[in-house]
Amino acid sequence: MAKGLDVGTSFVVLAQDTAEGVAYKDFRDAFYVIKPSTPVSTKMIEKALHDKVFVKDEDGSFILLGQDAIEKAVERNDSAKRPMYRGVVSPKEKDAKRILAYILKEVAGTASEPGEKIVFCVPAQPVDQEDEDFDVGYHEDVVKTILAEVGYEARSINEAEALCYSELENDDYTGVALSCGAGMVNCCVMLNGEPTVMFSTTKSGDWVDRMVAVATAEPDSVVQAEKEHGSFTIGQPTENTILAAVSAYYERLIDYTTKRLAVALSGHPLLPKFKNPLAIVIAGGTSKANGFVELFGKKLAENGFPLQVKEVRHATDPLHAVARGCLIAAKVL
Amino acid sequence: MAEQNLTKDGRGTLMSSNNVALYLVVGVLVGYLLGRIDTLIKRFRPEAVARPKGFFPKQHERLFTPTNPHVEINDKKYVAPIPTDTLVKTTATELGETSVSADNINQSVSKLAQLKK
Repeated sequence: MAKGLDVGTSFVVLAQDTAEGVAYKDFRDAFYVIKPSTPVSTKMIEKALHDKVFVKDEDGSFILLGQDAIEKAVERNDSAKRPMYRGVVSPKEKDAKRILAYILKEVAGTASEPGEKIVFCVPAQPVDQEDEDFDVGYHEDVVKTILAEVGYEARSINEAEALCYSELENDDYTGVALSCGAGMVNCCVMLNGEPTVMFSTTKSGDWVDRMVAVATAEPDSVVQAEKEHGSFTIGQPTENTILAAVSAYYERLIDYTTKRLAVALSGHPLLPKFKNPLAIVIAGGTSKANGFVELFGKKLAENGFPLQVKEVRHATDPLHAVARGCLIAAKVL
Repeated sequence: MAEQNLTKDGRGTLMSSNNVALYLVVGVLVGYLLGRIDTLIKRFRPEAVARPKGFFPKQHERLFTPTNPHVEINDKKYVAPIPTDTLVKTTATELGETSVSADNINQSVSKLAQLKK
């Protein structure tokens, strides 16, 4: 048995092979704390949360988890907290490690046998940030420690490399994979199954939410909810103010990301000399917006992408592709 | 002249604005040249750019042997124990939404395993 685990800024996704196919378990990587002020309010809050997913902390506070955390935050015109920030355990949230540990243990479950292999994804070093808090090595050790506590032998894989293993099988594992998550966009250029260039950028879905929140004076969680449930196409007009802002910032995000790709790859000494045009595969929740892949392909050409492109396509299952790639890697090990 | 602001006693002599401009220009040029040299080094000496470490280990990965000592101290940040037993689950609901995709990955696994041999 082996499992794949996409430890994402917005979602944690577990993938495991079953007789019926690949089973995925998705959980929203978010929490929201309610601290009761009196014993009476404690009872009232507990009653009100009876059908929600939450835990009680030793100080008596209630910690809602997952989608319920986001919905409660939206109800209170507030933003849910997240244990991850830009693809790694958040250095800003003091409860981040504890909550992340709880979520990962619940989603992954106990290993079906001691030492069961599990492969989890980590981001690459960003090319557009010099934040000393970005410590992938530490994040990797935290996740390994958590998974070891429930009996797994855990190994990490670069997020975009995992995506290559999931989506480039029919291209002889040669091409470019872009995982557009909430916190970051991860990129891997692969040649015959060998990753040659890997990097990330720090502007992605969360950047869109943050910019729209500031522009419209709404909390991030409200913007995120509107973005995920509202109907819009990037580049096309809409009457909804929030979605119009979302569309505008998506255009800027795609322009920025394609320019960053061009700069990072142009003249890169490790970039192979490909004989044939390449497939470019895009996955991740941020890429699910209508019109994303089409505009991305157009902007790649406009902004001087240095490689010949055969096609720009969406992953078969954009939300689960990274977890699928982690599972494949775990089974090959 | 107005721009020649030199003190008469010689203490803390102020530089003329011409000298300041000259030092600035020289400083910018030196910085530019150093940056270009670094880029050129990386272009013509690919070994100066760190190769990405893929998931599957290569045969020739560097190991410590007494005749080829490659010694580095492990200075990675220590991970303290992360207690979660103080978080009491109050609902029997399992965390997460489960879905099954009719997707057989055995072929993918075989193909990748063959490639990595």
